[in-house]
Amino acid sequence: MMPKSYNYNPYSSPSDAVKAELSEIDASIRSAAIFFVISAIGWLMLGTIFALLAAVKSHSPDFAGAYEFLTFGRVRSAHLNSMALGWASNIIFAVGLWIMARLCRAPIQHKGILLIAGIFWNIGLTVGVFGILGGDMTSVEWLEIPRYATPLLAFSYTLIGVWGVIAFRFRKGDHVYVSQWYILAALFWFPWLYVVAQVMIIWFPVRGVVQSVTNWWFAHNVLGLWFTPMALATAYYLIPKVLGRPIYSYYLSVLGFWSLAIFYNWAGIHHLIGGPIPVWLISAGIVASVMMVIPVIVVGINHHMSILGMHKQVWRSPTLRFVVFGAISYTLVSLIGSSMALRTVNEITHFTHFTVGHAHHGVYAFFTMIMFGGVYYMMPRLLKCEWPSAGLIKIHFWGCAIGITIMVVALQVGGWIQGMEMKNAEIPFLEIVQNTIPWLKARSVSGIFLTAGHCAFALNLFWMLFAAGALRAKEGPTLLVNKEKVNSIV
Amino acid sequence: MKNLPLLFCGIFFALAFSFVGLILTSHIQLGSLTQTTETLVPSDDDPTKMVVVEGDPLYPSQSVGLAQQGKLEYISLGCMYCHSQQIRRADFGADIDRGWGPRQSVARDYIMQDRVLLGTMRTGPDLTHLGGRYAGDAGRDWNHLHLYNPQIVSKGSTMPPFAFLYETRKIENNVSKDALVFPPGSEYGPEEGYEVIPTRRAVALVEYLLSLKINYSLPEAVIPE
Amino acid sequence: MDAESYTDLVPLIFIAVVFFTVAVGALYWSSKRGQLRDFDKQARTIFTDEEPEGEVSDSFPEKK
Repeated sequence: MMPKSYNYNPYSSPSDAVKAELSEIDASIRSAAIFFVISAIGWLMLGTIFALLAAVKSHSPDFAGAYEFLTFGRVRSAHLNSMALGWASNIIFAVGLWIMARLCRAPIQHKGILLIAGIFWNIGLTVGVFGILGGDMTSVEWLEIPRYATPLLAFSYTLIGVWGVIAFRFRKGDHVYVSQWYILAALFWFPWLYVVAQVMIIWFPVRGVVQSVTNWWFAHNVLGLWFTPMALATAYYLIPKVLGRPIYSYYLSVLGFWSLAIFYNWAGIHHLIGGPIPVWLISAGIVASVMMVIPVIVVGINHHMSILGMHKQVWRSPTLRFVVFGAISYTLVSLIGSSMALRTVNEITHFTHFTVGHAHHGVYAFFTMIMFGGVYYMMPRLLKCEWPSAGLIKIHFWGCAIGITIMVVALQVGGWIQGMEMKNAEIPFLEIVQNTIPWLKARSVSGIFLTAGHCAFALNLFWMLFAAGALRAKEGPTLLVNKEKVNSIV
Repeated sequence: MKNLPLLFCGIFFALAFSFVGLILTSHIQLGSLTQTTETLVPSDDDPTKMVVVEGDPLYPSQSVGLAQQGKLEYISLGCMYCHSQQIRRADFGADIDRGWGPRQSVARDYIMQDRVLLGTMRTGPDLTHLGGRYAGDAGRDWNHLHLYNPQIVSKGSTMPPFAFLYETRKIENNVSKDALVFPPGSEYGPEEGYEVIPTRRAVALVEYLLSLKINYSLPEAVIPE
Repeated sequence: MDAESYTDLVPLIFIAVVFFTVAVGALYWSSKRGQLRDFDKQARTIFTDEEPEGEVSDSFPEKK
């Protein structure tokens, strides 16, 4: 019954005291994880509304134009913060901490800390987003939330970070999996970034463009040292877990982790190429951005080789449809990003919608799609029941896949044209603006697809949470066990 | 890699490396920048050292008064998210060719700003030298009409209207001298008997916009003839 | 930029070099201590009795 190769693994220990059942761990983190999932989806829906408003205003500026609290600059910032701190961070707390708990092989302690932290996080963010719409925003990118709300965010984050380190410190078993390094690293990096940026830009502002250097070190590292490691941790866990076979090369994952850690945090300067800062800083940023090709290719090889020969199973798994879409997007968005750092490309793409498309390619097509996959895997195991509707999962997938593809293509084609035209001083600026409008309208259309996907997701989730008795649907996805084992479930 | 202290060490140094290399170095290198005169002359004591010219104005100047208050409006309304404030050098993009400024922006141009608003999007034009392109009373009038509804002076623009910064009120006796003067027959003008007056917020914001000027050279960035 | 301001950077360059050396040293130390071996075993730690290796653990229901 017990394969020999598992002798060292506490799960297969003959002594029940040491053995930690996955289901036990799942049960211990259930309330915290579900709290974070519900928060995340709430912010996802609110962020989607802000996104639709901003998207329509970008090509039809009179839309809701009389309302000061909805002016484009504010609603766009409310969208960004709702998604970055509301959707993304909450879903990281849900899925990332669940994976961490499972890999630390012990039922979690101090679940109360997580719940308190989560409540304060949401309160701080709500106050912050209202503050942005009300006119108190800072106009510092990715740090728009007013000063009166940010200490609460920093405090609640600290609780979560401390929990993560404690969970890791008191883990059982000898081995540490790659996902744990990524999660631990991200939990440590994010508060450092956040506190430094808040102090040096908002609370005790440094002089001149040092603010900008700090700003883009911070903002790019939210993508590279917070979102990316958490999404990679999720993909590294779920791809082999679902397919039932280990990751192709663990050695490559070590290489990938450390090269990401070294290079990613120098790359943020690429947001300031051509700007009023010393050239050596810009060059360092470009070099790091190009060196990022190394960890990206390494991760790409690892994921691709891990699913080789099992493409059918990938397609048949709701989780992996999303995760592999995300993993492929990671390779693509990163290679495009490295190219955007080259001066000749940057001369065209900087300041255009191309960059906006790139940002959504990363945060949505890569990070968000992987986290959607994480939710599809995690929820049945937490609640011990199936997703109610396979149809809604499919609508979710197609809505989001089609939506984000339209968005990225429209913004990057439109942005490229915009950049080429801006380089030509003969073309009047208003004409360039007019030429972007069809692409911006396509972006609004993509928003409809994404909204449909999000609604399907939210609907399915709430049905699963609140109509539990109606489940065991024979038509539902069999996410807990293989079809053959269905009859043997208690 | 199972050892927590070791892992922590690596994770810490990875970020410390860039924090020192990017943040602290630029803080030291740029933090010591001061205002200066447009040209430097050799010092009397030591001819190899260049010093500021006695009695010449120092640049960049600090923004004060209504313009500084207007900057708060700029920040509150999120103007930065469509408008940049940095001019790139002549052979990197067409910023100078477009007339957006007489020379490129350099780090010293921003040292007197409490919040630097470089911006990363040009949905609208760069504003570093807006006060140079739209100056004086004509510039003031243009900017008020543009803010009230951009379509009045920039038809087809995607900039949102900021009519909420203006007050429409009944004309008493005579038209106020602050009232906006619309082009004849404009569809955006107020009804008969009404006038559009800028609120204090709009006045401050326009003063800020008009204060944005690169009409001075620096030793490291001279305006070409 | 005056050339002088670059001299101010020397202490920081020194610190950066120290960090780099520490990082390389840590890597070397970890390799000597056997942290970078047994990758195959480490890759398998995600599997358990409840969700063992070799079984696909997530899929839509089969078409009838």
